[in-house]
Amino acid sequence: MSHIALLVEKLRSVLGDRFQRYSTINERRAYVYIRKEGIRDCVRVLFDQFGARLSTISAVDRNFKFDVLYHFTIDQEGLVASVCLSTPKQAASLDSVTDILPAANWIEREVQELFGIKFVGHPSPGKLLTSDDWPEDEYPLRRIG
Amino acid sequence: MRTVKLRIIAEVLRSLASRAYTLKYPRIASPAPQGFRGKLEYDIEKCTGCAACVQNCPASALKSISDGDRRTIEVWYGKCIYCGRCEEVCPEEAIALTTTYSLITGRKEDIKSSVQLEVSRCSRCGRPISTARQIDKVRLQVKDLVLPEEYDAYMSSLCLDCRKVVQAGLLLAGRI
Amino acid sequence: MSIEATLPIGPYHPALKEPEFFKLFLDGEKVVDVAIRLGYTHRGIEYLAQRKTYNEIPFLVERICGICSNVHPMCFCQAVEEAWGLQVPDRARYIRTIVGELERIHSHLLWAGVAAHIIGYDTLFMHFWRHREPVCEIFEVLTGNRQNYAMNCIGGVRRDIDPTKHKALILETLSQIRPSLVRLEKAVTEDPVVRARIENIGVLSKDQARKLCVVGPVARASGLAIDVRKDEPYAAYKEVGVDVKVLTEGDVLSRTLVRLLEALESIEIIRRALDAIPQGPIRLEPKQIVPGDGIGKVEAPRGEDIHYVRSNGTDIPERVKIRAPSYMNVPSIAPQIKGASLADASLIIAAVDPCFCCTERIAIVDVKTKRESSVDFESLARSWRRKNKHR
Repeated sequence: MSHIALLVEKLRSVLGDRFQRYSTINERRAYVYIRKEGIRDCVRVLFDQFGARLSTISAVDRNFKFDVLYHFTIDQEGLVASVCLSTPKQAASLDSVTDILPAANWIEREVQELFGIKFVGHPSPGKLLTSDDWPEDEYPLRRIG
Repeated sequence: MRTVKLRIIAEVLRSLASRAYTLKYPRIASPAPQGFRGKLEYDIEKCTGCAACVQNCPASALKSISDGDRRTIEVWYGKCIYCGRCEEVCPEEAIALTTTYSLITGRKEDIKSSVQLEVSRCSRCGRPISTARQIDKVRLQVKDLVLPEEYDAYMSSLCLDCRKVVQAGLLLAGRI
Repeated sequence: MSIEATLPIGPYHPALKEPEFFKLFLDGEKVVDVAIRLGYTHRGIEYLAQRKTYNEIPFLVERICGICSNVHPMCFCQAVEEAWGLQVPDRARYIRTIVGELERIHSHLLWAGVAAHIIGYDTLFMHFWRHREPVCEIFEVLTGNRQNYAMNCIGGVRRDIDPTKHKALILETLSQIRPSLVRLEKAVTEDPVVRARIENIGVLSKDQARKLCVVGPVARASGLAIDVRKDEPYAAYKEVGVDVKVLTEGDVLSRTLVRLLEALESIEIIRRALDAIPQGPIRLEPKQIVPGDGIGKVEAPRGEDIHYVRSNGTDIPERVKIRAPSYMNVPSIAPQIKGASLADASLIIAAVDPCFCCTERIAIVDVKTKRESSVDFESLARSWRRKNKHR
């Protein structure tokens, strides 16, 4: 069974109905769509069982919602598995995974600062990139209107 | 420790025996090699004022200013990033990057450079169409493609709106 | 009415190399904690990139960093080529490999020189940079500039490697600098003073490295055998092959060795690539803008660089996300620096090779007296040299 198929099967069994679908374009890129409640279990599976490394988190403003992609690299297979989830723009919030994976600390802070998505449970949320006098509720990469 | 000391002594002797690697620039000239991306220059004979360079400049260093009888294509060297996109897209090979890298100057005029081209006006309504060179170039290309009796010199001197009006008039009069 | 004004010095100052802020919490001479503050060179590149056309963006992202100036355009172009389904011509892939490896050599030598300068060994610093200079001269002839090469475009490369002019120059220069690099590597590893300074300093264990997801030489010096060139070969690395250097001690000496050995390996990769480079076109004109997602990954001198591009069918991308390697490596300074002495602090910070190479100012907080004082990088390095004059 290919590595992507193994990964998908494991995630399906752990997440249950929080797993929505997946798509691939070749054997190096997989996009797994889940509901946002499942992100912590997903990260646990990927980090502990598949030895994946968090490369980065991308957020895309889709006007009524945010698409958030967690890019995990599985080095031995040369695979990037992107876990895609959505959160509505109003009161956008996600569960922080920093306690499972300390590398997510700055990455989540950046998304919080630039898009205004709140990461619940983040140990040290605070400004990272913008200056101290930048207004509190202005998010540089968020679309206005 | 002894081998290290010997190695250091060998290095010192090697350095003493070789020339200094640095040049006393600017007392000694240090020309850039061929292919260096330096200051851009226009060839006024070749430019047709099509402004392809203006559209493709990533840094918006090139500007096209049209004011009736003249079109000016201007570069501001302070904004230029020396990428060479203008050279890549120019259809006439009229713009090129030279190997000049020293742009220090005390005069403000030196940091801008421009070419000016004559603009042709429509022979019916008088509005400016495009640069005379560009229209001549297109005329020559069209002449190559059509039979001599099909080429209409009057139509080729009109702007797009006037052409539509004249064509419509000819249609209504049954002349075409 | 009188107004009191204060004049801050740093993070931006003509004397400082790159702006960044470290606050060290001290107990006596030992560092107990560190707070890192970023953002001084935040220029809104992602915001700008989402307002420029695809052709303009490589020139924008090239200027993210002056040292890894080939990596970002190449990564962006790879992401877009993946999104649009473009196959880059073979010759272009080899040229991208050659330029990338030349950049790795010059970047590692630059870092080695700066690290030597920090420990006070200025002669070594001068030697490293003298041997880096011919590589910059190759770039001048090959690409038109010492930095900001403007070589990559979507669909290939913009300039060719001339078999008569360029190939001979590259091979000759590499033959000249190789013996010097071998000598300099020995000067680092066999000199007991240099070794004492950098051995067992700033240790990062394999477990910590994994949890912090560090990349590049920092990861490879802590036992993690990860390298994008081997794991997910891009450009021509599948054909040319890479020998990845991995060490396990995780201290500053290991990181130094990994970088120097990589520079020597890069020379071999360039020779192999120049030998095997095929004939053919160097550029493919994209015919259609396809909506979709693309991820580009490149092994920069500092580690894995990743770009994510979402295309929506127009000539302006919907989203460009850029994550440079130092973003993952800089937080690893915290576990490395705890328990180290103040004098070693500057070296530990520099050994991670952050792309903001030196700090603007380090603020020191003495936890016992709660007094805060400022000191700059240079004087920290000087204080170490003063204390260790007897060595």
